[in-house]
Parts: sequence; C-alpha cells; structure tokens
Amino acid sequence: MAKPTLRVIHGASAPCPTWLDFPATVVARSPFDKGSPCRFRLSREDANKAALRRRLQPIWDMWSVVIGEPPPVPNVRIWGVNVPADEGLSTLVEAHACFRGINRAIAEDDMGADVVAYIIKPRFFYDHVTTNMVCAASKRPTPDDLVFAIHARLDIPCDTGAPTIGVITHGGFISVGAEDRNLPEDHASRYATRLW
Amino acid sequence: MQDTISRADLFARYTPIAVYYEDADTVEYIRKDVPSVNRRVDGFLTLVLDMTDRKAIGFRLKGFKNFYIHHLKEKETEDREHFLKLVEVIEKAIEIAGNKVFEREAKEAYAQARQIAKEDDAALHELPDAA
Repeated sequence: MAKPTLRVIHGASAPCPTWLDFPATVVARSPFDKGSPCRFRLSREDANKAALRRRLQPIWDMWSVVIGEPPPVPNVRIWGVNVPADEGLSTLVEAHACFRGINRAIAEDDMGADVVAYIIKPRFFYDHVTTNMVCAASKRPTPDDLVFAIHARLDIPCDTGAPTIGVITHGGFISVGAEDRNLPEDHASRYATRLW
Repeated sequence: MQDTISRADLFARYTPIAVYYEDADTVEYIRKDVPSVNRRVDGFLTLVLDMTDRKAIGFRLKGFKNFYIHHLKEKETEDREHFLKLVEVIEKAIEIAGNKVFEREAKEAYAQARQIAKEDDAALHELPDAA
C-alpha cells in the first residue's frame, strides 16, 4: 500500500473571519472581448497579510468596490448611516475601461505586460472605522474626482476558455484626468494599451 | 506581531509598519489606515494620499522584488542584515533614476517619501523571496 503523503498545513486553528473570506472568484468582462464574461481569482495572501497588520481599508475596498457587498462585519446592514447598505456599491463586472500593461516591473515581468487594469467609478465605498463600536464599516460617497483601478495578473499562457484567467492582486483609488473624468489621469503613460 | 486574526481586530488600532505584498510585488508604508488615493510618480514610486485632505500619508515601492534582486540583495548579504531601511531604498532609487528624478514634481514626491521613511525610521523586516 502506498504511504500517505504528509502535508504541512500552515496557519492557526482559529476560523477565518467572514470579512477575510472573499469569494473564490469574481466575474468580469473579458479583457479581450468586452461582451464576454470571464472570472478572476481573488488574492487572499496579501489580504491576510494586511489583516495581520490591522490594515483593513484595502480589504473594505475589495468588498465594496470589486465584490459589490458591504464588508461582512456585525451591524453593517442595520447601522443607520449605511442603510441601504448595498445601494451604490460597484462590482468588477461594471468596469467601463480596461488597460493592459502597467509600465512597471511586477516580479519577473519587467514591464507588467501581463497585468490588466480595470477601471470602475463607484458611487460609494466602505470606510474602515475604529472609533465607533457599533460597526467597523461606514458607507461613504466616492469623491467625484476619483476612479478605482483594479489590477489583475493574467495566467500565462492565457486560456480564455479556462474557468479563471488570472488573479486580482490589488486595487486603489486614483485621480481622474482633466480630459475624461471617467479615466485615470495620465492613463496614456500609466498603461501600455487600452483594450476597451 | 500576532499571527491570527480575530473579530477584535476590527477595532484595533493600526500601527504603521512596512509590508511587502508579494502578489502586488509592492512594499507599502502607510501611516494611517484610512481611505486613500494613489498618486503615481513613476514606475517605482507611488505616493499615498489621505483621501480627505490629499496629504501624503505614505508610499508604495513597486516592482520591489526586481529592484531588490538587482540593487539591494548583494548589499544585504554583505551586511548580514535582515531588514532594509526604506530611506536607503528610496535613496538608492533616486541614485539609479539619476536625472529623471530631478523633474520638479518627481523630485518633490521622492523627497516626501524619503522624509516619511526617515521620520518614522521605516524598515522592511520581511524581504522578498529572491531566486
């Protein structure tokens, strides 16, 4: 009989809090065909690392701008300032622009050529608050001069028929350009190619 | 530092610390865990601004693994140190960028990042896995 394979499982025995338990994948419009859906995995390692340092705002951004739900923390749906808690949140599939190539190194990729950036203009997002013991997430409007850019690293070789085509690594708010308030400032130099 | 995450962390105070995020290949040093705006300076540096007053509260050093392998790893081995002071990393980046950094806006941004790193004595204790 074959010997069982032993694996070391890292991590503590405590269950993962719900606010760190991202869905395994999220739907997006395909970078290669705006009319076709595709799926990306969500990076959990960086979110876990941030959470261990008590840096929660990027996790709240991920919930409210990419996944389209309030961060699942106690009272988030009933605390007055958040109601209605889901209204005005965005999801990745609502991105209105997509670029490829981020013109900077990312690991072994010298120019970030295999990274796509989705641009979203969310109406609201959630702010991580520590001063209010009722709820740790407070809904607030996004300033009009900002968009949110979500970066995803494509799997190489890229198989558009695969269940997922890459992993979402990070995102953040950036200022809009003066000529088009739906696109990031300096998008022509920031990204290599506009896909749609 | 703790190694588990609990419900109590929802209300715990954030303490600034430099962190290397492997998937994003970025070192981040942020003074406050608040909504922020990223201001891209160049392919290496992004200043992080407080969304409310748009003042710099930190920075990101992008493509860090590549930069570390090519410009910092050798020194780290020689010195037998196991952390990197971010002010030295920024100074190295300025040295490498040379004249490009001396465009006014970029120069000011690098100076702001350097000041934050210096004032806070920010250091990276977890280095990238370098092949």
